[in-house]
Amino acid sequence: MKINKILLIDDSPIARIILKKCIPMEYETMEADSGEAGLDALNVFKPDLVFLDLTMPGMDGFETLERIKKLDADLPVVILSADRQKASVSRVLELGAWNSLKKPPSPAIIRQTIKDIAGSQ
Amino acid sequence: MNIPQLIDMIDVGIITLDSEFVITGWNRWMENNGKIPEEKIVGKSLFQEYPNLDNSWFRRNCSSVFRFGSFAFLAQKIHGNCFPFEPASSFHSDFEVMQQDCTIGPVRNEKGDIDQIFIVVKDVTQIAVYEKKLISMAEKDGLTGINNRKYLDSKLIEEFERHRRYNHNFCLIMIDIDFFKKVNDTWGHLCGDEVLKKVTSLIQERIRTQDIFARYGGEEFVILLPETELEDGIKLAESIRKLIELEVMNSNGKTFSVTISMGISAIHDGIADSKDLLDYADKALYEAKTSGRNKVVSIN
Amino acid sequence: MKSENILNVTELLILQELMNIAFGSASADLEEVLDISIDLKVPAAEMVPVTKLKKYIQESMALTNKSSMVEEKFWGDFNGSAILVFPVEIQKNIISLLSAHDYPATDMEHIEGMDSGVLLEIGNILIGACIGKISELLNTVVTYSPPSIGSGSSSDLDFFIDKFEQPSSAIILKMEFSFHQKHLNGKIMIITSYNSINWLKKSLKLFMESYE
Repeated sequence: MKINKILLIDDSPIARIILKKCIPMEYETMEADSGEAGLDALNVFKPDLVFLDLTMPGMDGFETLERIKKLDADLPVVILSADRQKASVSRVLELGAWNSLKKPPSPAIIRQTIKDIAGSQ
Repeated sequence: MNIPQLIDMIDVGIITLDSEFVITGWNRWMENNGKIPEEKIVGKSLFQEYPNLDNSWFRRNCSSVFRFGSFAFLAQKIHGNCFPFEPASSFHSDFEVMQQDCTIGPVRNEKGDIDQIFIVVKDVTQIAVYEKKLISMAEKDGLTGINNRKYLDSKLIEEFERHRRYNHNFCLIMIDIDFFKKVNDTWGHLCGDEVLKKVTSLIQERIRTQDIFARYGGEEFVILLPETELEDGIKLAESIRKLIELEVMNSNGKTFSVTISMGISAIHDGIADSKDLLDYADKALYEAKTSGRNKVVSIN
Repeated sequence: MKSENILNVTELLILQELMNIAFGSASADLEEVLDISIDLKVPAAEMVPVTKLKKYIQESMALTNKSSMVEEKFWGDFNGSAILVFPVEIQKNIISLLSAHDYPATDMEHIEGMDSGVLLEIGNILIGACIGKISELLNTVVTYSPPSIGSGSSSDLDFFIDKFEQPSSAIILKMEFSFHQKHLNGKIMIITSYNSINWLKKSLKLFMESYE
């Protein structure tokens, strides 16, 4: 799977800055500050990969994930959240998330995750 | 002077434990009060030596210290003690075991990780003794040694709450010593005090342990009878009335006797609160007084 | 107020994100420690002048005379006080929450003492978890004083606020918590004292710089 474009969905501007700093420069990124904005961006930006936060005002990460998967079941979505409760982690995996990572992200883990997804079928 | 020396000289117990609750440190205070030398206990499981600590609240507090680096405070008021030691001084006859405040906190290694925790044990028996005395002073009547009105009021509210929740019945007797003013005027106040003491001790012996007996004011007393129907309350009141009537009092070489009047009321749906019940019993007492004294009158 | 002694908007946003991370990880750990699933959410960071602190706490914590408040001080580079408020009607729930976990058998006559014992223990663990996780992210270690319990009454609050030196500003970190199965909720507020503001500014900068 070829990855060029990555969409970051998180309501916290700081969280988006941190995540962007973890993603190598060669990727093109776009930021969305809510679940709704993220869904709009899917059509315009056509990302190859999505990083998604769970706790957001309005449409939360669970619902956003569900809707993304309905629109494009093959689009890989990586959850990046502070919510580490067992129930939340297992729920996002059931909903079809590629993986669930904990905040704060580290550049090494983000890079490895992108590599893993690119290397998969 | 270095810190390890201080640990043995300080007047509190200090223990360290690893994550498996194995004892790794035991200071001199612990040796003296626990009566186990350091070399005999280090390396052993805390729960093997003190099985009383092998419970979920203790483990919960320890795991929060390991996990968050926070402190846990096990207060004497709630836990009494963690380590069942003898009181350090024989003056603490109120307590058979030493009362303790314990603090649990993290111990970090060079890397900053928490691989052990400490427990500091403080002997607070003396404070607990004073506190017990203060509470009893605040709840007891100084002259007769029975409960005071403040204590009664709080118990009455509790009993009322129990009735409201579980529909438990209870009765209230209000007692007044007949012609008490005359006793005071004729024989003097000291004699009056003697009468109050004698009457209370007679009543105290007659009632059950669960009954709450209090001095309500001057020569007025109240007995709260939990789990009691009105008829049984009347029977008890009548037996108390006879008991007092037959008692021959001695004071200052004089012999005489006194009588008491009693008003009794049981809880029922028409009574809105504890004050209401007191009013009912008071009304009954008034009737006993105005209709000849030395009698029991009930109202419901 | 000198400008270097207040946090700017960006710093408050960084702090908010740190709280988000800290409390998320605290809930997961609390789930194991307390054996109950708990949510810590809606974190927010604000600067409030000490002179307005009382009104701010009363309003944002919805304090009444019947609330229960647990207060605990912490010390270190990061220092201040934390308060946790339970609305009054949930106290009996809290007791059943812990007594189900064999809370020490207390004389039933002293149920009042037990109420406050359970509140103190739960309050201490929740406060310790939140402060502990934030400290960890900021690479520091704090110590604590024993928690005390009060009501939400005006006089109890005065007693608490008087400990903050005036005139100064406090950084307020607040959030809500709820226990899933028990329909219990409350609020926690961490009031950072003035003298840790410079340290905090530096630590927030270091945290962001670690991603450069």
